[in-house]
Amino acid sequence: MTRCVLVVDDEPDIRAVARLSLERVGGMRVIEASSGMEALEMVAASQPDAVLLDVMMPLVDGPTTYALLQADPRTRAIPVLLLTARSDATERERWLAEGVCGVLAKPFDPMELPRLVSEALGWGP
Amino acid sequence: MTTSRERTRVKALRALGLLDQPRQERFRRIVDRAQHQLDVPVAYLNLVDETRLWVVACTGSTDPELDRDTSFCHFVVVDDAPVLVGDASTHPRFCDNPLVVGPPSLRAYAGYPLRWDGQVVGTLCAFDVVPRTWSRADLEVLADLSAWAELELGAEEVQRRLAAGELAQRLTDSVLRSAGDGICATDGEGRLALVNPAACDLLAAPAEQLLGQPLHELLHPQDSSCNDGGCALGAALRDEQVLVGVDDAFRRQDGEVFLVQLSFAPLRQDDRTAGAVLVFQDVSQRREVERLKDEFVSVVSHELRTPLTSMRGSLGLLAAGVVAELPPEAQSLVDVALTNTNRLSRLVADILDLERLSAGQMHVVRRPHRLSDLVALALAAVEGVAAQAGVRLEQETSDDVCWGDADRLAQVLVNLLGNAIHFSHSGSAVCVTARMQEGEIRFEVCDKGRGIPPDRLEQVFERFAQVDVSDAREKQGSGLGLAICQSIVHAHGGRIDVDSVLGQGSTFTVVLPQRRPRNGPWPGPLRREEEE
Repeated sequence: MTRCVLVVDDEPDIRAVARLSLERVGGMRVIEASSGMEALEMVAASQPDAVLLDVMMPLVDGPTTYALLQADPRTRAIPVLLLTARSDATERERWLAEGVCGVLAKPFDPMELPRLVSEALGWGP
Repeated sequence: MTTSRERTRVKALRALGLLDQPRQERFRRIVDRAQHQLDVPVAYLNLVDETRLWVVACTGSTDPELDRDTSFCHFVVVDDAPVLVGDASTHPRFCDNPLVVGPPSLRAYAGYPLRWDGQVVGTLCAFDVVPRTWSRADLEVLADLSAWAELELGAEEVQRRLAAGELAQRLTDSVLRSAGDGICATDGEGRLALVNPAACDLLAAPAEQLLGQPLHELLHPQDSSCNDGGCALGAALRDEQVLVGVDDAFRRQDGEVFLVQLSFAPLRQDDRTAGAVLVFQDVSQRREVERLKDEFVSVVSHELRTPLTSMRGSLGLLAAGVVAELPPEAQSLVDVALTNTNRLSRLVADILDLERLSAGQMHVVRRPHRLSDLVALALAAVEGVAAQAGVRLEQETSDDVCWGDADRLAQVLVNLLGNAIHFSHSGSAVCVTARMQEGEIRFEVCDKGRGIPPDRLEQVFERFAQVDVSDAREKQGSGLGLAICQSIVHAHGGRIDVDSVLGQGSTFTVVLPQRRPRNGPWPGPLRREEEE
């Protein structure tokens, strides 16, 4: 069965690239959200298999969105990967300690992204 | 033979500064009193050095000094005790003494040791030419007068020591007054016993208000974290620990809390707590600057990497043929674009790393690379720019092997070549050479461009350095390139240098050790996290 990944990023270009990468290279199904608030609604409504969540977004940023997903029993179990343009090792450690499944760096190689997502989530090839 | 004990004794004696000095009235009064109270014709106050008795004062004699070997006083020094002789002519020690068998035919002697700093430095003594029996009262007189003599002997030295102590105190006061850091000292009960003006300023209270207050309660009033073990200062005060460079927050007397960095050291005297010294500085501003810098790096990081992510992703998908298969020429162009996007991504990472220079150290991946490969990698990256600028690229390389991080070393060469091309005239050549020389790897990038003024040579490796303020605008350089080069070269244990003649061109030289030094640490302050 095709896995469904919610890509959350305020940059439409990046959502488009991630969608192409995950769909064409990884064989996954992608739904998109352009903000943290929109992501909260979509996760609850669509129950995707995973969320690929950008860190720096206006208003509600990635880590806050993650905390809100964790606080809601309907969305708590859905695994989350963070995607960040920052390269602060301590920040990364903290997010992992808070329970995110992985932290991926921007810019990413679109040919590698599906593999990295699958590995972080323990999905088989 | 001079024993160590004698050396110590003579050292104490000389510290008095009284040898070979004119006689002083204050000593004369002591021997006068001895002569009178003991009812003797002659009394001396002597200092005894290695060979002689220096007469500080005497009655009934005018000798400035006496020979130590034949003296009675010698035995007072040797015995470290009073010597009493009733009749020297029958005394086994003194019966042959020239002063006894010849003039002045001494018979009775009483000598008392004079001490300074625990050493016998001289004697107070009385002589008679007739035998006599020394009484207990005589000995007491001698003891009393000796005590007086010791006070007089040491008076000048005590004055000198007091003056030295005062000078030291004045120096300490001056240091405390002028120190920019807050300095406090507590007594054995943890109450403030000393505060310097900087501490008063930082704590917003006059010294009178601070002195006598318990240190911990003063700085951390009603702070709940102090009670649950989270207070390093409280623990250090309680357990007499040393703290160095600890971050903390203190409360000023006006209620404002400010960030400090503190050092703390307990003072122990005779196995008990005598107090402690606390030194602290206000780091609020420094922390704010650091926070702003972090924020800046974070924002720049995001702003640069967001478009790079779209570019990298799009090109990656195009190059891999995910969208459609590309005609060969288009494929080649997309590959070039992708390669350079990757390089740009790395450069962004480097710039951000450079901003974080203070945080840690750069890790370079050291592998063996042929010099010709490194140069080829660098030349490929600048070919386009060179062609556009009408600058010819020349190379002279060897197949010698260099241990280093290929990406980083290529980055150094690309940077140097890029600069050389930028500052070259159209039609001229830029030459890159790479070879091993005297056990070292040597790269040179040489141009015939405008050159660098001698007074700017020193600064070219500094961050944001531009030889000409218009450079950044005209040549679109960031001013970080050479600083990055220097960091990378230092991280490889090498050095980078520049020679230039104004109007004739510049030569940048990078020298690296040929091999990775065994067990040797790589100097260099840049840290790079794994990315991609």
